Parts: sequence; structure tokens; C-alpha cells
Amino acid sequence: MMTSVYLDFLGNSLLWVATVSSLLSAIFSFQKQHLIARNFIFLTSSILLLASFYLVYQFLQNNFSFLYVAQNSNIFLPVYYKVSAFWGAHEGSFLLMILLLSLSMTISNYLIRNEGFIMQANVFASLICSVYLLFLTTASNPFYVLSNSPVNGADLNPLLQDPLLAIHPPLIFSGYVFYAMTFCFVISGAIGKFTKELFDTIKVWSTISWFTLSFGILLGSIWAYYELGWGGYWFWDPVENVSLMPWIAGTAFSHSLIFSRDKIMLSWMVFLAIITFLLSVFGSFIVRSGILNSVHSFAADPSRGVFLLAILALFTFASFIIYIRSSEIFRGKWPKFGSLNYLLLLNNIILMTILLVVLLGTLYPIFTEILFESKLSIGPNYFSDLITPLTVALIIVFTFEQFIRLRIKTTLLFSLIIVAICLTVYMFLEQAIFISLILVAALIAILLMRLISYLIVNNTKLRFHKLLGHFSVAILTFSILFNHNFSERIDIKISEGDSINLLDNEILFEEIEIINDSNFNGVRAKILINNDFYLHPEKRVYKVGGQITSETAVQTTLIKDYLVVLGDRFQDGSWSIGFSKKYGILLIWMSSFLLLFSILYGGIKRKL
Amino acid sequence: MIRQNRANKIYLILFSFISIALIIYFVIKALEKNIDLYLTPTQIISGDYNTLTKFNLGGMVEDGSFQEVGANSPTVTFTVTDFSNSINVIYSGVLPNLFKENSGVVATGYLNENNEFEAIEILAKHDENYMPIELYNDD
Repeated sequence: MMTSVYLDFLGNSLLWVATVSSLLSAIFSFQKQHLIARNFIFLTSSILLLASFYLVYQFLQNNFSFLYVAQNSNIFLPVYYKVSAFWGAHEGSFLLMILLLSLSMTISNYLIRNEGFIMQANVFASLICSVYLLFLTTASNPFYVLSNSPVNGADLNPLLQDPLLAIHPPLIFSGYVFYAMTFCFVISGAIGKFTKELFDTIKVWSTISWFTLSFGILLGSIWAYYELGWGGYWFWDPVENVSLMPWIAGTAFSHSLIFSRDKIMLSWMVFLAIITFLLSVFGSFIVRSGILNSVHSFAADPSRGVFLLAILALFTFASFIIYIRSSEIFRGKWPKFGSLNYLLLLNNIILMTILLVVLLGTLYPIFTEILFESKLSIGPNYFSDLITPLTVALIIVFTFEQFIRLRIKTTLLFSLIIVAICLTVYMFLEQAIFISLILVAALIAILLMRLISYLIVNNTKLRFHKLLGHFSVAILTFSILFNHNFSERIDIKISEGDSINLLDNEILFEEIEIINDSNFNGVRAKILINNDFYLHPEKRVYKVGGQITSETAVQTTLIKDYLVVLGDRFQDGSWSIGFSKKYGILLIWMSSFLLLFSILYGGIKRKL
Repeated sequence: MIRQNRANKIYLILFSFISIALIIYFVIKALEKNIDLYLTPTQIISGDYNTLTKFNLGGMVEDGSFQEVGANSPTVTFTVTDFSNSINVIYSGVLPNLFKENSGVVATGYLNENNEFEAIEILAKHDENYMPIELYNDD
């Protein structure tokens, strides 16, 4: 008997009603009928909320007649993973993203009253929402039903069965969506006028988006480090790069808001907002779309690619038409040489260069495959070789920034910039890692002194978060450089009861035990390191799909981490294990959280 | 005032031209150094590759070819095939979880003098049904 697939009535009706309501809100916003438009926006978000709950309900009820549920869940899955399985694949995560977009539209519509610009922003946000909904219903529909339902589902990908990964994708998606909101406000300013209220709104939204995206990326890194078991937190994998690109552009955008407030290079700020938005659309579509050949692309469906490119082309075309046609923004001034704004612009240019490097490295393999049919991959060294000097240059520039208010002479500043450029070029040529490390360490010391002197002299903590944020970026860079260049790994073969000296550490492989859990079986090794602490790496076999995963065991200390991965059992009864020492991991996490705190603190204080 | 502004523009344009030129130069240099080609056993055998070029070897692990060879090291050998030619691979280290005979693999490394492939990294994709694209296109 053949199993056929058809559309679920309730789910699809909800999606279509939401599409129509979203289009209506665009029309009424265009006609400046605030109240009606607002009601339609509210309606869209409530219907999408209903549709999402409907889908989550099917997961909780183990209703495997739903294709999406059958593909991503099964009876043995714990309840919280059944909920998170909702965004375990492309269809659900896209529904979640649209829901978040319409919710943030609703919130901003109820918070900002009687402002002209909100209507302009609504037009764009509603149109984006409608296009996304069309994509969802036609190319990525989560509401397909099977005529005869399977007894059990295919299980959520075991790698996604982790508490961190339950919140990482929605955070990234929220970041993307908030940048879409920021974009809509900026565009409304480009068409109309950048008023003070509009600037405040843009600042709030850009801070929220920046914070959310940073947090999402950080959680992804932490997940990769503790769960994936490859002993790293960043692999320059295409999907990671795709989330990093809007972050870099967004960072530049947040800084450009500082000088564009004085009507300096307004066009540049608008340009950055557009770029950030387009990159985030690119990112939200491409993950799990099957275009990128990456570790993140699970079961992929390449047919979505055409739709994706069409939407991206539409958005790009529309936003640049608006950009070129709004002459008001091109009337801005240029920043004065040696001023704070000048340094900020320099800072922005370096960030855009880093963005260009990442973009080229990510897209180059795709282009060569399409154009010349040659398959290749770009090694992670491409990124680290190019980005290290650029980041160091960036830190030099923003360290100057922290002193600019102390009125340093222009000539001194100019010579310092020349020195910085020479050093950067030298680092490119020689890849001298020690020079970078010493330089960054020196800059950290300078920033720390500035931070302390600022705290002593000033009673008002007005720019405290800026100093702290830049300080933490310098520490982050230092610890990443240190980790990247000094971490070690060794793979060995070892039997139960044996001990061995690896990388100056005493390893005792005590025993292997069998473990059983509700949804997997496996083995767990008991390994004593330096007669001090135990590590328990595991190897699991999931009951439903039969997938095998490794659970890395990590012991974190202030300076270095010890990692053990359990490999395979050999015929003579011994096992292969991978032992590694990673430096500075704790410092990386701590400085990242410090950076997040500074972004959040700056955002909150701005509101007070 | 206007003159000052114009000078600034000239500085900025000059500066950006120089930096764009520099960046393009360094990007091309870094690309040259870090591109790894994906090759099948047939391409390796028919081509002329030296022992210094790092590349990715893609194919299927041949059935029954997997052997443990290291007495005190986790060294294994296996044969990667594209069903017309095959090449012997040596690897010392922890294998990925999805590695098994009769399934797809991507190995990164160098050829040695005996025309064997010495892998420094073995990749297997998360997808169980993953086939190297090189083979998929041939079918």
C-alpha cells in the first residue's frame, strides 16, 4: 500500500490567513491607517502563534501522521526535546523565525505610538513577513500529513539533543529577525527623515539585535566545543561563517550610528543596515537549505535554492533602488581627520574588510563549483592568516579611540596610524604570531590602565560600557590567538589498566563500562589524569536511528582544558583515544560574556 | 572649510585604494596557499601529483579492506575506491563515528612515495546516507 502525502487543512489554513492578514497590514500601513494596520499586525502574530502551538502540540502527542513530526521526533524522546524538535529542521525553524518577526512588529507597534515612521517601517516589515510566509507555504511547508502514519518517528538528530542546542538556533534566528526590524526602521528614515525619535528606536533595535546574535553565536561555539567533540569552538565552516557575516556587518552598523547622528556619512550607515539585513536573510535561508556543503547541512533539499536566490535578489534589488533614490542621505558631511568619527570610520572599514575576507572564503568554493566544476575546500588557515592582522589593526584603532577625548595631537595620531599600518602589513607578510600576541597584550595593558583611570576619575559611568566592551574584545582576541597556536592533540591506542605519559600528563585508562539510557546505549571510559581528576568520555548508539555519537569529556581549568575523545575498540581489546590540551578556553568564554554584558549594559543605560 | 573637507576626501580615497590593493594581494596569496582540491582515486592515478600537495580524497571505503596495522599506535589502513580505481589510505588516529566500510569518506592528506595516501584528517558527514558528491554525479 502506497503512502501518499497531502496538506493538513488546519495548519495550512492558518498559514494562508496569516499571509493575507500580513499583506493587508502592509496595504493599510501604506495608506497610513495606523489603527487598522496595527490590528492586522496583531492578528498575523496571533495566528502564527496558534499555528506554532498547533505544531508543538502534534510533537507532544506523538502524532506521526505529520510528516515533519515523523521526521524529527519519536516516542522515546524526552519531552523538552520534543518541544525543541519544533525547530530541529528547516521548516519549523523558518516558522519560528516568521513568528518572531511578526511578534517584534506587534511589540514595536504597541510601544511606539503616533509616529510617522512606524507606518513606513510597517510596510516593509509586513512585506518581508508575507514573502517569508509564501516561501514557507510553497517551498518549506511543515504541515504535510501522511495517509498512513508510521508507528514511530525517525528521531531528532542526536547531535541536536542537547540543552544548549535547544536555545542556540532560536537565538540566532531572533538576531536575524531583529536586524530585519532595524533595517525597516532605517529604510523608513531613508525614505522620510531621520528624526531624533527614529534614531532612538534604531539604536534600541540595533542593540537588541546585536546582543541576541552575539549570544546565539557564542552558544553555538560553546555547543560545538562541548557537544560536537572535535575539540574546537570555531571551524570556519560555511554555516558558521554565514552567521558571522551579519554579525560583523551589524557591529560596523552599531558603531556607524555614533557618527551618523551628527549627520556624518548618513549614506554609509544606511548602506551598512542594508548589508546587515541582506546577509541575515542569506544566513537564515541558507542554513539547512542544502546549498552549502557543510557539517551543518543534515538532510538537505536543493530545490529550495532557486526560491532562496529569487527572494534574496528581490530584497537586494528593492533595497538598493530605495537607497539610490533617497538623495537626502547623501548630503552628509565627511568626518574631520583625526576626530573620533574619523577613527570610527576607519574602524568600520577594517570590519568591512574582515567581512569581505569571510565572504570570499565562504563563497569561493561554491562559485568554482558552479563556474568551473572543480571541487575544492578552503582551509581554516586562509581565515586565520588574513583575519589575525586585521583584528590586531582593529584593536589598535579602537585603543586610540579610547584616548581621543584626551586631545592627543594630530601629528602624533598620524604617526601612530602609520606605525599601525606598517605593523599590520608586516604581520601579513610574516605571519609572526608572537608579534601579534605581544602587541595585543600591550594593548590590553593600555586599555586596562584607561579603564582603571576612568573609574577613578569619573563619577558618572557614562562611557564605562564602551571601555569594558573594547577591553573584552582585546582579551578575546588574545585568548583566541593563544588557543589557536599552542593547543596540542595526540591520538593513541591504549588498553584497560594501562597508563601512559602524553603531552607531559600522566594518563591512566582505568576501565570501560556499559551504559543504558531511555534513548541510547553506549560505553563510558574512566580515565584518570595526573592522579588528580577523572574524565568520562562516552560513545553512544541511539536506539531509533542507530546513529553513533561521541561525548567528549572536558576538564576546564583557568589556563588550559583537558579533553578526551573515545574512539573505537580494536580487535585486541584496546581502544583508541584522542587526548588534547587546549589553552585559554575559559578566558574565551569569560571575555565573550563580558562583551555581551557591555552590549546589554550600554543598551539599558541608553534607555534610562 | 571646504578646502579642508576636500583634502580629507583625497586622503580617504587614496588610503582606501592602497588598502584595497593590499587586501586583494593578500587574499589571493592566502587563497593560493589554502585551497585543497577534492579528487577521486581515478583523478589521482591519471594525474601527476607530488608528495607536497595537500588535497582531499573522496570515495567509498572498499568492503573488507579495513585493517588495524599498528601494534602500539591507532594506525589503520583501508582502500578508497570510486569503483573504477582505488587507492590505499593510511591513517593514525581516532576515526569519525560514521566511518565504516561501504560508505562514503573524505580524507585530507598527502600522497607518499609508494603512491599511498597518508591522511591527516578523516571526515564523515553527519548524514548517514551521505555520498561524496564526486560519486553521486557519476551515477
